[in-house]
Amino acid sequence: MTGTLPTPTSQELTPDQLLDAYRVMRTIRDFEERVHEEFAGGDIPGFVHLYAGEEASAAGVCAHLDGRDAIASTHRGHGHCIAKGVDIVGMMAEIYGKSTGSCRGKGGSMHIADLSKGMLGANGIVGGGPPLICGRALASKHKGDGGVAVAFFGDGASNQGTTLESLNLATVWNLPAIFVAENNGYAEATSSSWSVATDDIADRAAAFGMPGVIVDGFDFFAVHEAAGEAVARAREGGGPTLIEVKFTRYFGHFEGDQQLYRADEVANAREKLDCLKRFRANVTSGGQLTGTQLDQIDSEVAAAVDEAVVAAKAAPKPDAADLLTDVYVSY
Amino acid sequence: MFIDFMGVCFDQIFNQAAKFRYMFGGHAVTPVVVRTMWGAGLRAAAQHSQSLLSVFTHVPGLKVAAPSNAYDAKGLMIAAIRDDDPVIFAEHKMLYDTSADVPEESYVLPFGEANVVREGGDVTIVAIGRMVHTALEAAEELAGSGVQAEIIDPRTTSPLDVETILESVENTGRLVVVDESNPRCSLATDVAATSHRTRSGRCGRESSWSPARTPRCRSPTPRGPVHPGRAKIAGAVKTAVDYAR
Repeated sequence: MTGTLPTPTSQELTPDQLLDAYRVMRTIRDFEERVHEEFAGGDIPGFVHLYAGEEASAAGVCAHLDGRDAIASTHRGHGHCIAKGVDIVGMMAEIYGKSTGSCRGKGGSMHIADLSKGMLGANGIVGGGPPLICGRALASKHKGDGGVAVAFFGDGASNQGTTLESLNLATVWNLPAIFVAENNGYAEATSSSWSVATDDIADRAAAFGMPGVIVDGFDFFAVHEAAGEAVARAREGGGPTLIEVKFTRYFGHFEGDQQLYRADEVANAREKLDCLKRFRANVTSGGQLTGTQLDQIDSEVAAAVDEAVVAAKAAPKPDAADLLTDVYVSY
Repeated sequence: MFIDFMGVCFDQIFNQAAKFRYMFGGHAVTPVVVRTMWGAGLRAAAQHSQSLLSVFTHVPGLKVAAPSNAYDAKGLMIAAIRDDDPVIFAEHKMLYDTSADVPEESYVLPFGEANVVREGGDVTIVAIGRMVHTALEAAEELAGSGVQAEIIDPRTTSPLDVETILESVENTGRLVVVDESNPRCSLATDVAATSHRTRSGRCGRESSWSPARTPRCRSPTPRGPVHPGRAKIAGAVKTAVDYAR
Protein backbone atom coordinates (compact mmCIF):
# COMPACT_ATOMS: atom_id res chain seq x y z
CA MET A 1 0.00 0.00 0.00
CA THR A 2 3.04 2.24 -0.02
CA GLY A 3 2.85 4.92 -2.66
CA THR A 4 3.93 8.38 -3.65
CA LEU A 5 1.16 10.89 -4.15
CA PRO A 6 1.01 13.23 -7.14
CA THR A 7 2.15 16.73 -6.22
CA PRO A 8 -0.90 18.75 -5.21
CA THR A 9 -1.26 22.47 -5.56
CA SER A 10 -2.49 25.33 -3.46
CA GLN A 11 -5.85 25.50 -5.24
CA GLU A 12 -7.74 23.62 -2.56
CA LEU A 13 -6.87 25.90 0.35
CA THR A 14 -8.49 29.23 1.13
CA PRO A 15 -6.33 32.35 1.26
CA ASP A 16 -6.69 32.42 5.05
CA GLN A 17 -5.52 28.82 5.32
CA LEU A 18 -2.56 29.61 3.10
CA LEU A 19 -1.65 32.65 5.17
CA ASP A 20 -1.87 30.59 8.36
CA ALA A 21 0.34 27.87 6.93
CA TYR A 22 2.93 30.37 5.77
CA ARG A 23 2.91 32.11 9.14
CA VAL A 24 3.52 28.82 10.93
CA MET A 25 6.41 27.87 8.66
CA ARG A 26 7.95 31.33 8.78
CA THR A 27 7.64 31.42 12.57
CA ILE A 28 9.40 28.07 12.88
CA ARG A 29 12.18 29.16 10.53
CA ASP A 30 12.78 32.47 12.26
CA PHE A 31 12.53 30.91 15.70
CA GLU A 32 15.12 28.28 14.85
CA GLU A 33 17.48 30.65 13.04
CA ARG A 34 17.36 32.90 16.07
CA VAL A 35 17.94 30.07 18.56
CA HIS A 36 20.92 29.06 16.41
CA GLU A 37 22.37 32.56 16.81
CA GLU A 38 21.54 32.90 20.48
CA PHE A 39 22.86 29.46 21.42
CA ALA A 40 26.26 30.46 20.07
CA GLY A 41 26.19 33.29 22.61
CA GLY A 42 26.35 30.76 25.44
CA ASP A 43 23.32 31.87 27.47
CA ILE A 44 21.12 28.89 26.60
CA PRO A 45 21.64 25.87 28.86
CA GLY A 46 21.60 22.25 27.74
CA PHE A 47 21.10 20.96 24.22
CA VAL A 48 19.07 22.33 21.35
CA HIS A 49 18.14 20.48 18.16
CA LEU A 50 16.81 22.71 15.40
CA TYR A 51 13.93 21.99 13.01
CA ALA A 52 14.84 24.45 10.23
CA GLY A 53 14.30 22.87 6.80
CA GLU A 54 11.55 20.57 8.09
CA GLU A 55 8.82 23.20 8.56
CA ALA A 56 6.44 21.80 5.94
CA SER A 57 5.98 18.62 7.94
CA ALA A 58 4.78 20.18 11.18
CA ALA A 59 2.76 22.83 9.34
CA GLY A 60 1.24 20.46 6.79
CA VAL A 61 0.12 17.94 9.40
CA CYS A 62 -1.00 20.29 12.15
CA ALA A 63 -3.09 22.36 9.70
CA HIS A 64 -5.62 19.52 9.94
CA LEU A 65 -5.66 19.33 13.73
CA ASP A 66 -7.87 21.12 16.23
CA GLY A 67 -8.48 21.22 19.97
CA ARG A 68 -9.56 17.58 20.10
CA ASP A 69 -6.25 16.39 18.78
CA ALA A 70 -2.85 15.78 20.35
CA ILE A 71 0.69 15.40 19.10
CA ALA A 72 3.81 13.81 20.53
CA SER A 73 7.15 15.13 19.43
CA THR A 74 10.87 14.52 19.54
CA HIS A 75 14.09 16.10 20.75
CA ARG A 76 13.72 18.27 17.61
CA GLY A 77 10.39 19.59 18.82
CA HIS A 78 10.24 23.38 18.46
CA GLY A 79 8.52 23.21 15.07
CA HIS A 80 5.86 20.81 16.28
CA CYS A 81 5.14 23.04 19.26
CA ILE A 82 4.72 26.12 17.09
CA ALA A 83 2.54 24.31 14.55
CA LYS A 84 0.26 23.06 17.36
CA GLY A 85 -0.17 26.58 18.68
CA VAL A 86 2.20 26.76 21.63
CA ASP A 87 3.06 30.36 22.51
CA ILE A 88 6.58 31.26 21.33
CA VAL A 89 7.17 33.62 24.22
CA GLY A 90 6.77 30.75 26.69
CA MET A 91 8.80 28.48 24.42
CA MET A 92 11.74 30.83 24.16
CA ALA A 93 11.73 31.44 27.91
CA GLU A 94 11.66 27.68 28.45
CA ILE A 95 14.69 27.22 26.20
CA TYR A 96 16.47 29.87 28.27
CA GLY A 97 15.47 28.04 31.45
CA LYS A 98 13.42 30.92 32.82
CA SER A 99 10.54 30.77 35.28
CA THR A 100 8.17 32.25 32.68
CA GLY A 101 8.77 29.28 30.36
CA SER A 102 6.10 26.87 29.16
CA CYS A 103 7.29 24.42 31.83
CA ARG A 104 8.51 27.06 34.30
CA GLY A 105 12.05 26.44 33.10
CA LYS A 106 12.24 22.86 34.28
CA GLY A 107 12.00 21.16 30.92
CA GLY A 108 14.06 23.14 28.44
CA SER A 109 14.24 22.64 24.70
CA MET A 110 13.73 18.87 24.81
CA HIS A 111 10.65 18.91 27.03
CA ILE A 112 8.54 21.86 25.93
CA ALA A 113 4.92 20.88 26.42
CA ASP A 114 1.53 22.55 26.52
CA LEU A 115 -1.13 20.02 27.40
CA SER A 116 -3.84 22.67 27.02
CA LYS A 117 -2.90 22.84 23.34
CA GLY A 118 -2.71 19.07 22.90
CA MET A 119 1.07 19.24 22.71
CA LEU A 120 2.19 16.23 24.75
CA GLY A 121 5.78 17.30 24.91
CA ALA A 122 8.97 17.33 22.98
CA ASN A 123 10.72 14.16 24.10
CA GLY A 124 14.32 13.45 24.97
CA ILE A 125 13.91 9.74 24.27
CA VAL A 126 14.20 8.52 20.68
CA GLY A 127 11.01 6.53 20.12
CA GLY A 128 9.35 8.00 23.21
CA GLY A 129 6.40 9.54 21.37
CA PRO A 130 4.69 6.69 19.50
CA PRO A 131 3.59 4.81 22.66
CA LEU A 132 2.20 8.05 24.07
CA ILE A 133 -0.09 8.69 21.13
CA CYS A 134 -1.42 5.14 21.26
CA GLY A 135 -2.65 5.95 24.75
CA ARG A 136 -4.04 9.30 23.71
CA ALA A 137 -5.73 7.82 20.63
CA LEU A 138 -7.21 5.02 22.71
CA ALA A 139 -8.63 7.60 25.12
CA SER A 140 -10.20 9.54 22.22
CA LYS A 141 -11.64 6.34 20.79
CA HIS A 142 -13.25 5.39 24.11
CA LYS A 143 -14.53 8.91 24.73
CA GLY A 144 -15.84 9.16 21.18
CA ASP A 145 -14.61 12.75 20.97
CA GLY A 146 -13.39 12.47 17.38
CA GLY A 147 -9.84 13.30 18.37
CA VAL A 148 -6.80 11.96 16.57
CA ALA A 149 -3.28 11.66 17.91
CA VAL A 150 -0.12 12.19 15.89
CA ALA A 151 3.42 11.10 16.66
CA PHE A 152 6.25 12.85 14.88
CA PHE A 153 9.45 10.84 15.04
CA GLY A 154 12.69 10.55 13.13
CA ASP A 155 14.33 7.94 10.95
CA GLY A 156 16.34 6.79 13.98
CA ALA A 157 13.18 6.29 16.02
CA SER A 158 11.66 4.33 13.16
CA ASN A 159 14.08 1.54 14.12
CA GLN A 160 13.14 1.58 17.80
CA GLY A 161 11.08 -1.20 19.31
CA THR A 162 8.71 1.26 20.90
CA THR A 163 7.81 2.63 17.47
CA LEU A 164 7.27 -0.76 15.89
CA GLU A 165 5.21 -1.96 18.86
CA SER A 166 3.11 1.18 18.61
CA LEU A 167 2.46 0.65 14.90
CA ASN A 168 1.26 -2.85 15.70
CA LEU A 169 -0.91 -1.74 18.60
CA ALA A 170 -2.46 1.07 16.58
CA THR A 171 -3.75 -1.41 14.02
CA VAL A 172 -4.75 -4.04 16.59
CA TRP A 173 -6.81 -1.42 18.45
CA ASN A 174 -7.84 0.38 15.24
CA LEU A 175 -6.72 3.68 16.71
CA PRO A 176 -7.17 7.20 15.34
CA ALA A 177 -3.40 7.51 15.25
CA ILE A 178 -1.02 8.92 12.67
CA PHE A 179 2.67 8.17 12.60
CA VAL A 180 4.76 10.79 10.84
CA ALA A 181 8.29 9.54 10.18
CA GLU A 182 10.40 12.61 9.55
CA ASN A 183 13.31 11.18 7.60
CA ASN A 184 16.01 13.83 7.42
CA GLY A 185 18.62 11.31 6.39
CA TYR A 186 20.53 11.00 9.64
CA ALA A 187 19.94 9.69 13.13
CA GLU A 188 22.47 11.90 14.85
CA ALA A 189 25.41 10.96 12.57
CA THR A 190 24.12 7.62 11.31
CA SER A 191 22.75 7.58 7.77
CA SER A 192 19.21 6.25 7.44
CA SER A 193 20.24 4.55 4.19
CA TRP A 194 22.48 2.40 6.37
CA SER A 195 20.34 1.98 9.47
CA VAL A 196 16.85 1.44 8.03
CA ALA A 197 16.47 -2.11 6.73
CA THR A 198 13.83 -1.29 4.13
CA ASP A 199 14.28 1.06 1.18
CA ASP A 200 11.75 3.43 2.68
CA ILE A 201 10.35 3.71 6.21
CA ALA A 202 6.86 3.80 4.70
CA ASP A 203 7.43 0.24 3.44
CA ARG A 204 7.04 -0.93 7.01
CA ALA A 205 3.39 0.10 7.08
CA ALA A 206 2.40 -3.00 5.11
CA ALA A 207 3.78 -5.21 7.87
CA PHE A 208 1.41 -3.56 10.32
CA GLY A 209 -1.65 -3.54 8.08
CA MET A 210 -1.89 0.19 7.56
CA PRO A 211 -1.43 2.55 4.60
CA GLY A 212 2.08 3.89 4.11
CA VAL A 213 2.75 7.05 2.16
CA ILE A 214 5.95 8.82 1.10
CA VAL A 215 5.87 12.57 0.65
CA ASP A 216 8.33 15.27 -0.34
CA GLY A 217 8.95 17.02 2.93
CA PHE A 218 9.99 20.25 1.25
CA ASP A 219 6.53 20.54 -0.27
CA PHE A 220 3.91 21.84 2.14
CA PHE A 221 1.09 20.87 -0.19
CA ALA A 222 2.27 17.29 -0.51
CA VAL A 223 2.42 16.90 3.24
CA HIS A 224 -0.91 18.69 3.66
CA GLU A 225 -2.68 16.39 1.24
CA ALA A 226 -1.26 13.17 2.68
CA ALA A 227 -2.00 14.27 6.23
CA GLY A 228 -5.51 15.32 5.25
CA GLU A 229 -6.32 11.86 3.99
CA ALA A 230 -4.81 10.25 7.09
CA VAL A 231 -6.62 12.54 9.53
CA ALA A 232 -9.95 12.06 7.76
CA ARG A 233 -9.53 8.29 7.79
CA ALA A 234 -8.60 8.30 11.48
CA ARG A 235 -11.55 10.51 12.45
CA GLU A 236 -13.94 8.21 10.61
CA GLY A 237 -12.69 5.14 12.45
CA GLY A 238 -10.57 3.93 9.56
CA GLY A 239 -7.47 3.39 11.67
CA PRO A 240 -3.86 4.51 11.58
CA THR A 241 -1.55 5.69 8.80
CA LEU A 242 2.22 5.89 8.45
CA ILE A 243 3.48 8.91 6.55
CA GLU A 244 7.16 9.19 5.69
CA VAL A 245 8.29 12.76 5.11
CA LYS A 246 11.67 13.08 3.40
CA PHE A 247 13.82 16.18 3.66
CA THR A 248 17.10 17.60 4.96
CA ARG A 249 17.69 19.36 8.22
CA TYR A 250 19.51 22.63 7.78
CA PHE A 251 21.50 22.48 11.00
CA GLY A 252 23.39 19.69 12.69
CA HIS A 253 21.86 17.04 14.89
CA PHE A 254 22.45 19.41 17.79
CA GLU A 255 23.94 22.86 17.99
CA GLY A 256 27.68 22.26 18.02
CA ASP A 257 27.54 19.22 15.75
CA GLN A 258 30.49 19.44 13.35
CA GLN A 259 28.56 17.41 10.75
CA LEU A 260 31.60 15.53 9.47
CA TYR A 261 29.27 12.71 8.44
CA ARG A 262 27.59 14.53 5.58
CA ALA A 263 28.64 16.43 2.52
CA ASP A 264 27.30 19.91 2.01
CA GLU A 265 23.80 18.93 0.98
CA VAL A 266 22.29 21.76 2.97
CA ALA A 267 23.31 24.55 0.58
CA ASN A 268 21.57 22.81 -2.28
CA ALA A 269 18.45 22.19 -0.22
CA ARG A 270 18.29 25.77 0.97
CA GLU A 271 18.81 27.04 -2.56
CA LYS A 272 16.64 24.73 -4.63
CA LEU A 273 14.24 22.81 -2.39
CA ASP A 274 13.38 25.08 0.51
CA CYS A 275 9.76 24.76 1.64
CA LEU A 276 9.24 28.46 2.22
CA LYS A 277 10.58 29.43 -1.20
CA ARG A 278 8.47 26.80 -2.92
CA PHE A 279 5.38 27.80 -1.00
CA ARG A 280 5.86 31.42 -1.92
CA ALA A 281 6.40 30.58 -5.59
CA ASN A 282 3.37 28.29 -5.64
CA VAL A 283 0.84 30.67 -4.08
CA THR A 284 2.05 33.82 -5.82
CA SER A 285 2.29 32.29 -9.28
CA GLY A 286 -1.20 30.84 -8.82
CA GLY A 287 -2.51 34.21 -7.72
CA GLN A 288 -3.92 33.11 -4.36
CA LEU A 289 -1.64 35.42 -2.40
CA THR A 290 0.61 38.34 -3.19
CA GLY A 291 4.23 38.71 -2.29
CA THR A 292 3.29 41.74 -0.25
CA GLN A 293 1.01 39.67 1.97
CA LEU A 294 3.82 37.23 2.63
CA ASP A 295 6.32 40.02 3.24
CA GLN A 296 3.94 41.41 5.82
CA ILE A 297 3.94 38.09 7.65
CA ASP A 298 7.73 37.99 7.46
CA SER A 299 7.90 41.35 9.22
CA GLU A 300 5.36 40.41 11.88
CA VAL A 301 7.07 37.11 12.61
CA ALA A 302 10.51 38.69 12.85
CA ALA A 303 9.18 41.18 15.39
CA ALA A 304 7.39 38.47 17.38
CA VAL A 305 10.48 36.28 17.58
CA ASP A 306 12.58 39.24 18.61
CA GLU A 307 10.09 40.09 21.35
CA ALA A 308 10.22 36.49 22.56
CA VAL A 309 14.02 36.61 22.84
CA VAL A 310 14.00 39.97 24.62
CA ALA A 311 11.36 38.72 27.06
CA ALA A 312 13.22 35.45 27.67
CA LYS A 313 16.48 37.22 28.43
CA ALA A 314 14.76 39.62 30.83
CA ALA A 315 12.73 36.96 32.63
CA PRO A 316 13.73 35.76 36.08
CA LYS A 317 15.34 32.40 36.64
CA PRO A 318 13.41 29.92 38.77
CA ASP A 319 14.09 30.02 42.49
CA ALA A 320 16.45 27.32 43.68
CA ALA A 321 13.62 26.06 45.90
CA ASP A 322 11.56 25.33 42.76
CA LEU A 323 14.06 22.70 41.68
CA LEU A 324 12.58 20.22 44.12
CA THR A 325 8.89 20.91 43.53
CA ASP A 326 6.45 19.27 41.11
CA VAL A 327 7.96 15.81 41.54
CA TYR A 328 4.68 14.49 42.91
CA VAL A 329 1.14 15.81 43.17
CA SER A 330 1.28 14.71 46.82
CA TYR A 331 3.88 12.79 48.80
CA MET B 1 2.48 -9.06 34.85
CA PHE B 2 5.78 -10.26 36.30
CA ILE B 3 7.97 -7.44 37.59
CA ASP B 4 10.81 -9.12 35.69
CA PHE B 5 9.14 -8.01 32.44
CA MET B 6 9.20 -4.33 33.32
CA GLY B 7 12.41 -3.92 31.37
CA VAL B 8 10.56 -4.01 28.08
CA CYS B 9 8.43 -1.01 29.02
CA PHE B 10 10.75 0.76 31.39
CA ASP B 11 11.11 3.87 29.28
CA GLN B 12 7.38 4.56 29.54
CA ILE B 13 7.58 4.16 33.32
CA PHE B 14 10.74 5.95 34.36
CA ASN B 15 11.38 8.45 31.56
CA GLN B 16 7.80 9.31 30.64
CA ALA B 17 5.24 8.70 33.40
CA ALA B 18 7.57 9.43 36.31
CA LYS B 19 8.90 12.69 34.87
CA PHE B 20 5.97 14.39 33.12
CA ARG B 21 4.89 16.40 36.13
CA TYR B 22 8.38 17.64 36.89
CA MET B 23 9.52 18.30 33.32
CA PHE B 24 6.30 20.08 32.42
CA GLY B 25 6.55 22.43 35.38
CA GLY B 26 3.72 20.94 37.42
CA HIS B 27 1.20 21.21 34.59
CA ALA B 28 0.75 17.45 34.12
CA VAL B 29 -0.76 14.65 36.17
CA THR B 30 -0.10 11.00 35.36
CA PRO B 31 -2.69 9.03 37.35
CA VAL B 32 -1.64 5.55 36.28
CA VAL B 33 -1.45 2.37 38.38
CA VAL B 34 0.82 -0.40 37.14
CA ARG B 35 0.04 -3.75 38.77
CA THR B 36 2.93 -6.17 38.87
CA MET B 37 3.75 -9.51 40.45
CA TRP B 38 7.00 -9.90 42.36
CA GLY B 39 9.03 -12.17 44.55
CA ALA B 40 10.47 -15.65 44.64
CA GLY B 41 8.89 -18.85 45.86
CA LEU B 42 7.45 -20.62 42.82
CA ARG B 43 10.84 -21.95 41.70
CA ALA B 44 10.17 -20.10 38.46
CA ALA B 45 13.85 -19.38 37.77
CA ALA B 46 15.81 -16.20 37.24
CA GLN B 47 13.42 -14.27 34.95
CA HIS B 48 10.19 -14.81 36.91
CA SER B 49 11.28 -14.48 40.53
CA GLN B 50 12.89 -11.11 41.12
CA SER B 51 12.17 -8.56 43.82
CA LEU B 52 12.86 -5.30 42.01
CA LEU B 53 11.02 -2.88 44.29
CA SER B 54 14.19 -0.91 44.91
CA VAL B 55 14.55 -0.19 41.19
CA PHE B 56 11.23 1.67 41.19
CA THR B 57 11.71 3.13 44.67
CA HIS B 58 14.88 4.74 43.34
CA VAL B 59 13.03 6.80 40.71
CA PRO B 60 11.63 10.17 41.81
CA GLY B 61 8.09 10.61 40.57
CA LEU B 62 7.03 7.02 41.18
CA LYS B 63 5.21 5.68 44.22
CA VAL B 64 5.60 2.03 45.18
CA ALA B 65 3.17 -0.08 47.19
CA ALA B 66 3.76 -3.69 48.22
CA PRO B 67 0.93 -5.05 50.40
CA SER B 68 1.53 -8.03 52.65
CA ASN B 69 -2.09 -9.15 52.97
CA ALA B 70 -5.50 -8.92 51.31
CA TYR B 71 -6.86 -6.23 53.67
CA ASP B 72 -3.91 -3.95 52.94
CA ALA B 73 -4.08 -4.77 49.24
CA LYS B 74 -7.63 -3.44 48.95
CA GLY B 75 -6.97 -0.28 50.95
CA LEU B 76 -3.72 0.47 49.16
CA MET B 77 -5.20 -0.25 45.72
CA ILE B 78 -8.06 2.19 46.28
CA ALA B 79 -5.54 4.76 47.47
CA ALA B 80 -3.41 4.08 44.39
CA ILE B 81 -6.32 4.51 41.98
CA ARG B 82 -7.36 7.78 43.63
CA ASP B 83 -3.76 9.04 43.58
CA ASP B 84 -2.77 11.46 40.81
CA ASP B 85 0.82 10.21 40.73
CA PRO B 86 2.03 7.06 38.94
CA VAL B 87 2.01 4.05 41.27
CA ILE B 88 3.82 0.74 40.93
CA PHE B 89 1.56 -1.72 42.75
CA ALA B 90 3.66 -4.76 43.55
CA GLU B 91 1.78 -7.91 44.54
CA HIS B 92 3.87 -10.75 45.95
CA LYS B 93 3.01 -13.86 43.98
CA MET B 94 3.16 -16.11 47.06
CA LEU B 95 0.44 -14.10 48.82
CA TYR B 96 -2.37 -14.63 46.30
CA ASP B 97 -3.44 -17.77 48.14
CA THR B 98 -3.52 -16.16 51.57
CA SER B 99 -6.75 -14.84 53.08
CA ALA B 100 -7.70 -12.03 55.44
CA ASP B 101 -10.87 -10.33 56.64
CA VAL B 102 -11.70 -7.79 53.95
CA PRO B 103 -14.70 -5.49 54.40
CA GLU B 104 -17.13 -5.11 51.51
CA GLU B 105 -17.12 -1.33 51.74
CA SER B 106 -14.51 0.96 50.29
CA TYR B 107 -11.62 2.07 52.49
CA VAL B 108 -8.27 3.69 51.95
CA LEU B 109 -4.90 2.97 53.50
CA PRO B 110 -2.80 6.11 52.99
CA PHE B 111 0.61 5.71 51.37
CA GLY B 112 3.57 6.27 53.67
CA GLU B 113 1.91 4.86 56.79
CA ALA B 114 3.58 1.72 58.11
CA ASN B 115 1.73 -1.00 59.99
CA VAL B 116 3.12 -2.24 63.29
CA VAL B 117 2.26 -5.88 62.76
CA ARG B 118 3.63 -7.13 66.09
CA GLU B 119 4.74 -5.22 69.17
CA GLY B 120 7.92 -6.03 71.05
CA GLY B 121 10.62 -4.23 73.01
CA ASP B 122 13.84 -6.05 72.16
CA VAL B 123 14.38 -5.69 68.44
CA THR B 124 12.74 -3.94 65.46
CA ILE B 125 12.21 -6.03 62.33
CA VAL B 126 11.26 -4.21 59.13
CA ALA B 127 9.81 -6.56 56.53
CA ILE B 128 7.68 -6.14 53.44
CA GLY B 129 5.44 -8.35 51.33
CA ARG B 130 5.83 -12.04 51.95
CA MET B 131 8.69 -11.44 54.38
CA VAL B 132 6.21 -10.00 56.90
CA HIS B 133 4.80 -13.49 57.36
CA THR B 134 8.22 -15.10 57.57
CA ALA B 135 9.29 -12.50 60.12
CA LEU B 136 6.18 -13.30 62.20
CA GLU B 137 7.17 -16.95 62.26
CA ALA B 138 10.68 -16.01 63.35
CA ALA B 139 9.28 -13.71 66.04
CA GLU B 140 7.26 -16.54 67.53
CA GLU B 141 10.39 -18.68 67.64
CA LEU B 142 12.39 -15.86 69.23
CA ALA B 143 9.70 -15.29 71.85
CA GLY B 144 10.40 -18.82 73.05
CA SER B 145 13.93 -17.73 73.94
CA GLY B 146 12.79 -14.50 75.58
CA VAL B 147 13.36 -12.07 72.71
CA GLN B 148 10.34 -9.91 71.82
CA ALA B 149 10.46 -8.60 68.26
CA GLU B 150 8.50 -5.62 66.97
CA ILE B 151 7.61 -6.12 63.30
CA ILE B 152 6.97 -3.16 61.03
CA ASP B 153 5.46 -3.52 57.56
CA PRO B 154 6.10 -0.24 55.67
CA ARG B 155 3.35 -1.15 53.13
CA THR B 156 4.84 1.39 50.71
CA THR B 157 8.52 1.83 49.93
CA SER B 158 7.89 5.20 48.28
CA PRO B 159 6.93 7.10 50.31
CA LEU B 160 8.59 5.29 53.22
CA ASP B 161 7.37 5.80 56.78
CA VAL B 162 10.76 6.45 58.37
CA GLU B 163 9.17 7.96 61.47
CA THR B 164 7.45 4.77 62.58
CA ILE B 165 10.64 2.78 62.05
CA LEU B 166 12.69 5.29 64.04
CA GLU B 167 10.21 5.41 66.90
CA SER B 168 10.45 1.66 67.21
CA VAL B 169 14.25 1.64 67.02
CA GLU B 170 14.43 4.37 69.66
CA ASN B 171 12.65 1.91 71.94
CA THR B 172 14.39 -1.34 71.00
CA GLY B 173 17.85 -0.08 70.06
CA ARG B 174 18.17 -2.81 67.44
CA LEU B 175 17.08 -3.01 63.79
CA VAL B 176 16.89 -6.00 61.45
CA VAL B 177 15.67 -5.44 57.89
CA VAL B 178 14.31 -8.49 56.09
CA ASP B 179 14.47 -8.25 52.32
CA GLU B 180 14.36 -10.88 49.61
CA SER B 181 15.87 -8.64 46.95
CA ASN B 182 19.50 -8.53 45.84
CA PRO B 183 21.90 -7.35 48.52
CA ARG B 184 23.33 -4.20 46.88
CA CYS B 185 21.24 -1.01 46.71
CA SER B 186 18.26 -2.82 48.14
CA LEU B 187 15.36 -2.01 50.41
CA ALA B 188 17.44 -3.50 53.21
CA THR B 189 20.44 -1.24 52.62
CA ASP B 190 18.15 1.76 52.14
CA VAL B 191 16.09 1.28 55.30
CA ALA B 192 19.18 0.50 57.34
CA ALA B 193 21.12 3.50 56.04
CA THR B 194 18.17 5.91 56.20
CA SER B 195 17.31 4.90 59.74
CA HIS B 196 20.92 5.06 60.85
CA ARG B 197 21.59 8.40 59.22
CA THR B 198 18.40 10.03 60.43
CA ARG B 199 18.86 8.80 63.98
CA SER B 200 22.52 9.84 64.04
CA GLY B 201 21.56 13.27 62.79
CA ARG B 202 19.02 13.71 65.52
CA CYS B 203 21.32 12.52 68.29
CA GLY B 204 24.26 14.55 66.97
CA ARG B 205 26.47 11.48 67.25
CA GLU B 206 26.91 8.05 65.77
CA SER B 207 24.21 5.57 66.69
CA SER B 208 25.13 3.07 69.32
CA TRP B 209 23.45 0.29 67.38
CA SER B 210 24.18 -1.48 64.15
CA PRO B 211 21.51 -2.56 61.70
CA ALA B 212 21.59 -6.11 60.37
CA ARG B 213 20.31 -7.12 56.96
CA THR B 214 19.10 -10.41 55.61
CA PRO B 215 19.13 -10.16 51.84
CA ARG B 216 19.41 -13.24 49.74
CA CYS B 217 22.67 -14.25 48.07
CA ARG B 218 24.25 -12.24 45.27
CA SER B 219 23.30 -14.11 42.09
CA PRO B 220 20.39 -14.27 39.69
CA THR B 221 17.46 -15.80 41.56
CA PRO B 222 18.05 -19.57 41.57
CA ARG B 223 15.23 -22.08 41.36
CA GLY B 224 15.86 -23.29 44.87
CA PRO B 225 14.94 -21.56 48.15
CA VAL B 226 17.39 -18.75 48.84
CA HIS B 227 15.12 -15.98 50.13
CA PRO B 228 15.37 -15.26 53.85
CA GLY B 229 13.70 -17.91 55.96
CA ARG B 230 12.66 -18.07 59.58
CA ALA B 231 16.02 -19.39 60.75
CA LYS B 232 18.01 -16.74 58.90
CA ILE B 233 15.89 -13.95 60.37
CA ALA B 234 16.18 -15.41 63.86
CA GLY B 235 19.93 -15.65 63.41
CA ALA B 236 20.16 -11.99 62.35
CA VAL B 237 18.09 -10.95 65.35
CA LYS B 238 20.32 -12.88 67.70
CA THR B 239 23.37 -11.22 66.15
CA ALA B 240 21.80 -7.80 66.69
CA VAL B 241 20.82 -8.62 70.26
CA ASP B 242 24.29 -9.87 71.05
CA TYR B 243 25.89 -6.79 69.43
CA ALA B 244 24.00 -4.32 71.53
CA ARG B 245 24.01 -6.31 74.75
